[in-house]
Amino acid sequence: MSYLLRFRALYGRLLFACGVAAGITTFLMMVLVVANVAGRYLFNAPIDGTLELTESMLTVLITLSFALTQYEGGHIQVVLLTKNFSPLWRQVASTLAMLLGFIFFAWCTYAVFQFAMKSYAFDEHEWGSIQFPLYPVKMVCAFGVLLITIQFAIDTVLTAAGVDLPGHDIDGVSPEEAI
Amino acid sequence: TATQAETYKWITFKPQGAGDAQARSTQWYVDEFKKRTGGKDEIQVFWGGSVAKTGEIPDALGAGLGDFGDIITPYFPDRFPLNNAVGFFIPQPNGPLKIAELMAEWHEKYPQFEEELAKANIKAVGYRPLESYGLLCTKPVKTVEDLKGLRIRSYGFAYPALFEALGASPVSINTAEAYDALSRNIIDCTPIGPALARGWKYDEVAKYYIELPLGASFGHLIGMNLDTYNNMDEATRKVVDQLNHDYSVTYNKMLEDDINAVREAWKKDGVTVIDFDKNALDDVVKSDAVQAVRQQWIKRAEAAGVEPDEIVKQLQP
Amino acid sequence: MTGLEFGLIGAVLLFAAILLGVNVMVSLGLIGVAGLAAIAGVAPATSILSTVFYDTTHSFHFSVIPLFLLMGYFAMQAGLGEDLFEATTKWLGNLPGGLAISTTIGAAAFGAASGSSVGTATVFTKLALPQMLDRGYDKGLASASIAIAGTLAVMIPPSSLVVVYGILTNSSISGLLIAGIIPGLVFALLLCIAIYITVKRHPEKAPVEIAHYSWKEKLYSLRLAGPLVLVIVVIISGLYIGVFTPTEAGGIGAMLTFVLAIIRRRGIRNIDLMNVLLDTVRTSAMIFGIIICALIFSKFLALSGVANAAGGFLTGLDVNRWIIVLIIVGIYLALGMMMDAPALLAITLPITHPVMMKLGFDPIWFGVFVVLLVEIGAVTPPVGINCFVVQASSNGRLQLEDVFKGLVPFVLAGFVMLVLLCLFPQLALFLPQSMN
Ligand code: NA
Ligand code: NA
Repeated sequence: MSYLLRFRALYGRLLFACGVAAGITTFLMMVLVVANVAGRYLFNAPIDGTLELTESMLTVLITLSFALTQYEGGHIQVVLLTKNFSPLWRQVASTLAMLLGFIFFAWCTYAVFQFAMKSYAFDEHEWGSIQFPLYPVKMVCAFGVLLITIQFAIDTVLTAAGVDLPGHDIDGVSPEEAI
Repeated sequence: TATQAETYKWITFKPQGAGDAQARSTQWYVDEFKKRTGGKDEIQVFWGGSVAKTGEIPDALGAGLGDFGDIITPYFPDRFPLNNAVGFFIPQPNGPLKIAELMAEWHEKYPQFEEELAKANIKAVGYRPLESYGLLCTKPVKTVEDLKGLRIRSYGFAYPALFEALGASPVSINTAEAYDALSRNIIDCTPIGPALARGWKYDEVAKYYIELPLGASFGHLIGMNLDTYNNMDEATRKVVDQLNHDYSVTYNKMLEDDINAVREAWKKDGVTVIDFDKNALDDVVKSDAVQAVRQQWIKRAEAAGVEPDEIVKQLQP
Repeated sequence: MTGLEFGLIGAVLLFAAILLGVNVMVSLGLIGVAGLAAIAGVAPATSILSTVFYDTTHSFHFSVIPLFLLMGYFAMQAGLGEDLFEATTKWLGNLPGGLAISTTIGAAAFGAASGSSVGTATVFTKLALPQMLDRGYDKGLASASIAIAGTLAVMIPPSSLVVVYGILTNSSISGLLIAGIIPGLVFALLLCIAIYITVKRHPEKAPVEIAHYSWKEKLYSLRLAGPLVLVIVVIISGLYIGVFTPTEAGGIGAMLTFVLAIIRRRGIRNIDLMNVLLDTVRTSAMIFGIIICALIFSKFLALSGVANAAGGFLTGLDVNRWIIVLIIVGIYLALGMMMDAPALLAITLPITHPVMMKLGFDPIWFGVFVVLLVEIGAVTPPVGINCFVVQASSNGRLQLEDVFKGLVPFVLAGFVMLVLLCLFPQLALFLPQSMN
């Protein structure tokens, strides 16, 4: 299984890269919002398309970081009951949990991918004060959901094999990762 | 199954408590449908986006999550370009009832209008244009000259081009924040009609209503899931078809009642209504920027095989 | 089976799945979409999955959530928390329970720069917990006072949770944010009183500080509050003068704390920018995962008719409206034991908000009320996110039980605050009404 753990870590690098891209998007979003306010207030010249760009940036930054958060065990989970289970039943419960995650997100991936393809088919654009194609944003959305599906698949196999997932602590909540 | 009683689902973004012409006429449709099917069939409404939000309704309706649904077509200019014609023609000279009639006429005359919706597995069964728009401002505006340099809320594609051509500065602010933006002078004006101005409470903070002749905009389309429509028995389908026209008339009457009530209230609440030259925007319509927006629709219409000249004429001031 | 039966089964399954350790997001989403499929068919359910991710995240309004979080993380980098803690200790260290009171006041002030309850609890666990424990404070008092103080960051603007309420109910976000100021401050005061009374009754829980600071030292320490005062003044005056909108305030606040962090750390290179950004997107993804999946589940509840039935039941009760408020409080406290705040809001508001509006309550008042309710849920066992976080950041000096044991006086203070809001709705409504 160390082979699979190594693969998980390697896959984690890809997710990390996506997280960095999401982080940079967040930073740029901040800069854009501030620049728009400054332009509007100081020169009566807002930056065209701030609203539309911000919306798309938010979709990108959220969906690109879904999988990283799962990789690091940051999505909230309650282990109050299961932590008192015997090791075997605990393993059964966490494998089931991962499997359900995989099923849910596989369903989502299929759905969101179709949605993105539809958008591509009728060449959907943002029609605000600036115009840009929207299907790439929807594709990123589908890609982000695919990434977390793969993460759940890896974690299903690992928990079924009895491997403790790195980064998933006993309370299931890492600090700074909940509102 | 033709004689079996049916309960259809209507998914709408509109909150039940809104109490405006849109919500009231939806309830009217539901009541009338039950009456006209002899109490056999009913429609259950899922209000307030609880099942599908505005951006989700076409997909949810087409997939059969609901049988009826209201689609805000301007949100889907690429998906339903033909049915969005009016959105590309701001300003245009017709009021809401006339626009509803034109939509019905085009659906009769050009099969492409219906095909466009059929691709999404949707059938149009009613039209609900928005009221005629003017401009609600925090300061008086009497002539086109006065618009120069004003910050005017804009959204979509036609308004920014129009206001820029008028020398104003288009500002993107979403609907929920327009109230704040008006009250704190982040924007000076927003295009809107009296009923919606009251609905969003904008008239609390902007006290000048300028009768800028922008015309009615479209608006909402009441759609049905195409399969549901096709599988209805003959008699029920006839009820739906008849309701199409009757709905437009009833909705328009409710809308006029609302507008008159607001205009009456404005006299007490200190909102000044400023008359405006009915032909004031004729020149700006000829400008390249506004014409470019119209050309985009014309190109799409031609690509879809619709001969656009007559429609364009109907929407030209 | 009727939709109503599907709805009830779904609700039971949701609790079972959450308790069995299935990711909260997955539990909500999978049971929601399976329920939709059972009622309406697989294709309609799939259509909701196809749109909900994009439709929910493609929103200008929601952009404030990552931006408020970013603001909080930059505020940490700028050392705003440390500075406040130092200043408040110099002033209040000699009071009975002074360190805990300092923590509460520091967290309330820090809350003006951060919109995250858990983030604030984390910062003050790092800052104040070792200090209190080293000076012989009771573990329960020390840790619980930090866990509850985190909730002040959500009561006092900016607050990502308040934005969630505003979006889910279509209420004025600026009104909601402003409305939280007075209740947030009053709640901070109540928490200080709760600490004071606890220590008066059990002096052994908090040895009194011996170190004395001169007036000169005290006054000099005030300069440390300067950067935070600057942030507050810029944001509030900017909103009032009309330089930016409440949504834009997220970007302005983040930029401002970013600049403060650069100044404090003497250069952009000394800021851990990469980790700040990663922390921001991780937390954002967590919040949105819950919001999106809770939306799927609430669509299922709506379509099943359970939401209507529950709402109908509540509005149909022929009793005094305050009895219904009491029932609603009971529901939130019960669910709040199990669930975290954004999910709780997303699941319950479609039912409770229309009921409260029909009963004639003000949407802004209810926003403040319900946010306080779900934040009490953030500390109550068995699932109290803030307590988990305090325990996790304590470097092994605490057990989870310690935190829960110390909570009683603070949860009581929360109840007192709820009662105050009912008796004096103006606490929440005065500022938003005077703003117009
Ligand atoms: Na705050
Ligand atoms: Na709890």
